[in-house]
Amino acid sequence: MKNVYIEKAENWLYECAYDGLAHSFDTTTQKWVKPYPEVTGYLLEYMCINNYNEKKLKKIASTLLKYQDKNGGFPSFFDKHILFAFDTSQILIGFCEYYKKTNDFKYYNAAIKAGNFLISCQLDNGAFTPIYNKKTKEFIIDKNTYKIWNGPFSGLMCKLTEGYKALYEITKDEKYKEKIKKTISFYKNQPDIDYTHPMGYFLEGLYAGGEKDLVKDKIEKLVLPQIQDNGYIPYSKNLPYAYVSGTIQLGIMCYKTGFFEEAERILNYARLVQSKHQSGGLFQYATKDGDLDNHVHTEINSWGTKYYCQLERCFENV
Amino acid sequence: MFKNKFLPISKIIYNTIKQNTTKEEKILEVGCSSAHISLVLKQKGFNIKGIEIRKEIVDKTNKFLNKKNIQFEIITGNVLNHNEKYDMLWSSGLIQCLNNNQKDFFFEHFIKLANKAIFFVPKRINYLPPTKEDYDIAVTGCEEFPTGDIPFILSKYYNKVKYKIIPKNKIKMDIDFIVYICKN
Repeated sequence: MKNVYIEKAENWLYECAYDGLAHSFDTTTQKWVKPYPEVTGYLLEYMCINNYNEKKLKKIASTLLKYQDKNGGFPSFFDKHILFAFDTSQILIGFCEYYKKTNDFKYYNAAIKAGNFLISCQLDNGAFTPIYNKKTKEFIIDKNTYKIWNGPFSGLMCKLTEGYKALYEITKDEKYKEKIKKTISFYKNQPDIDYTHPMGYFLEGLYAGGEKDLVKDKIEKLVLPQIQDNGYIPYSKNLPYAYVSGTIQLGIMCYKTGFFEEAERILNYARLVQSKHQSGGLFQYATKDGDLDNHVHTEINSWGTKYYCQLERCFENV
Repeated sequence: MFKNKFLPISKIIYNTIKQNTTKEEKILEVGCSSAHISLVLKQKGFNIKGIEIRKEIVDKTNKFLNKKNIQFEIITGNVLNHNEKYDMLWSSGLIQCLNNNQKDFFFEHFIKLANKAIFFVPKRINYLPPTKEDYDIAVTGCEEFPTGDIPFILSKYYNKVKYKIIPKNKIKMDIDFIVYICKN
């Protein structure tokens, strides 16, 4: 049976990548904004797994490839000279999925190159230097990077285990397994993050690195107490709005660690948010009642909508 | 004494320091040895002096400086006992000789001396036992430790750490060097 929620959201995802890059949609100006390589990587992975139109996949993959620096890294959406380890990892996952689907070695090679960039950013103790300035050829550790999320060595960087995992899957090279272990050895001891979205990344990284019990423990202690009756979780305890993607990410982690009732409550909240805009996409920031929150901006974002599709799919066969 | 001292790496060190300071800033080279780079900077008008723990090296260098009638101050002593304030410190070939505990001691002290520091370090992947290399080129008798965690350790003390690899083929050496530019 068709899931109309997924259908609407996926139609939005299809539209948001109209030129090969994922965009957000500004509901105030009614314009597509922020062409974003990193989240295009998420989209590529999701679209490959869920059998989107081949022409669309090719357009996205080939567009992304143009952004890859010769050292393998990728920029974010705001400064083409700054390459991010985090963004690079998300994009390489998309390339791995696209390679698995098409056997196009161009993307295998691009993924390896991206992996080499990650390795160049990783220190002996497992921490990643988050930024590389390709103009000055400098790696940068700045205390202002991810400042409110515990700084440059934030637990969110643990998500890079997913990149190594994807590389292991296509190469069967044990070195990537070693890199996963190294990443986990550092990041599992990093402090928890008070904000849902990066906390979601942290848990996703720990989960991909095999730390299911630790993730379950964190969900139980830190996440469950925050989930309100309708599935709403504030972005941070002191904030009056949700970062919707973060809420949904935690919902997926609840599902994966066996907290199905909580995951379903979060799913219902996400459906409530989706219902508030005709496009099928989800606001990046929303109130407890699911309405657009405009403290930061008024955009619908692709990564939140993508995570929503994934949470819906968790319950598809239940 | 400085014959063959100004190697390709010396030129890179010299240029890096010049690019990251001004003639108004007060600079200290830590573990200066024969101070051949700082000497050139001094002659170019930079306000720079050195500190070196090995008395025999300081004596040898001072003898040369006196012979050439060159004014350059080298303090004989341990930088950990030195408390004068500077605008910038720099050092080459010292940090890799410190184990992680020692690095913490040094950086904790360095940030009291200056808000800015530049370190040039050979990229060591594995531990190197004490060397019998030429006294003036390498740190004779010192073991050298892997350098892969230096950025992390530096980031505990400095708000911003930038580092860059100087490839071995560029400096005609057997090993890459890494330059760390650190600021508070």
